[in-house]
Amino acid sequence: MNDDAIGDDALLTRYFDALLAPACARGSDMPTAPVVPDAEAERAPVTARRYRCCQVGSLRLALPMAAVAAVRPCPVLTPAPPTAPPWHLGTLVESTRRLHVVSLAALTGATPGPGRTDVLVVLDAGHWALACSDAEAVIELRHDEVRWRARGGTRPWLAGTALAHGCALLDILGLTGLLASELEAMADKTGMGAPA
Amino acid sequence: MHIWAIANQKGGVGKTTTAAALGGLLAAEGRATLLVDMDAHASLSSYFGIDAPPGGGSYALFADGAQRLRDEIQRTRFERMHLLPASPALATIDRQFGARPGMGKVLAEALAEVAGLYEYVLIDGPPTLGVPMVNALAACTLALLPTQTEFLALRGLERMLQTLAMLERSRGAPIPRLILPTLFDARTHASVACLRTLRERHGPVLARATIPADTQLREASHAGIPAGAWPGARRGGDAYRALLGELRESGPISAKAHRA
Repeated sequence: MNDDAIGDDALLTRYFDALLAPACARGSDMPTAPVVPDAEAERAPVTARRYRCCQVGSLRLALPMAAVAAVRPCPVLTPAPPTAPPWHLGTLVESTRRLHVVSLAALTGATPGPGRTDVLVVLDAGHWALACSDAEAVIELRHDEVRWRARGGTRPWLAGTALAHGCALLDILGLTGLLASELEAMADKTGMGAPA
Repeated sequence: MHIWAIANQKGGVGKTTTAAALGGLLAAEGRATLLVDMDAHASLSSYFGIDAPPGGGSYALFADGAQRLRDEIQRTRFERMHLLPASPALATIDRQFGARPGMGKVLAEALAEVAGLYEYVLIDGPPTLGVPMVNALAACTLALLPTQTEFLALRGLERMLQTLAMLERSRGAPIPRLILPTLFDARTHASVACLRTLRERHGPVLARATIPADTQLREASHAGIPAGAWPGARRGGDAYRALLGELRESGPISAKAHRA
């Protein structure tokens, strides 16, 4: 290997070491990068995202369209075991997966209206379907229209609120994480093993 | 969650076709799959007819923070296959952020946030060495290296393997890899000789599957259909099915890990 090649390796190693070093502040906390102003690099406002709205009594819950696989009438379910969490309405087999049907009313504490489990919103990933009374409405929200909540807290399913649209936004990761952990806890208690 | 980075510093070796084909096969099996486009050319995004909004897509993770991932993921028209698209702004990342400490781990941090949602993440890497490529390789559990079966591509592969070795040292952990021969044409001496050379030099990490030079793969990409679902691409589709089987049965993606 010649001297030039060794020089290249050293430069690259220094570059990789820096990139993979412990993280510094990023995103909105990050200091302005010392770059020459350039129209190409200038960020344009992010466009609106589409959300499906689930009605639960008087509560309107919006979830990203990207998370929704299907919206369909709720069929007869295989009942949940007696030890299941109150939100667990039962299960439903759908082609390649078994879905756990979740009562959004029980989960959120909203007062359920009539026909509270008429409609299922099947999530695209995981094994979950959300039961509500209606899920017809689709809205568009810009990032700056949402009052975002910090992650965690007592309601991990709540991502934020969009007051102008009168709805709360579901945090799909927080929601499915909560559901999975409660099912696992139930399985541990009953010694039945984790549900599929 | 399995994270496969499909990477090579050389362009035109079949990275995007491979990402789309494997993603399509996994989603068709019912596996929740996220495709990540880390190439400013946005070929994978174009494959599925999806555009990132200005300043959005994978670029937003670097500009605004890893937490933007959930907002930027879009559905494809294939069930259980989602996409984080790329925008041309990705090309400005190196100039904007340079070698700022930690910028190589942005994608890994973002993907940790969606670990419960997807079983597979397939990253389509750029054909240049820079922040997006380093992010792809720092985040992955396997580097899949498509390599065109022609001699210029072999030199590109050697450079890619040197890069991987240096990145492993910086990452402090090995990066399992599998070299995938692509655009193989058994009718040409050059292709056959090149495949033989690959076997001699890299046998243990060379895929048994070989992706043929199937013109129908191009037709599939034009139609926005993954190879496995494109009726005309029988040879290409079968080769990708064989590759997927191979990825599962050995190495870092054992059958046991796959079921988890």
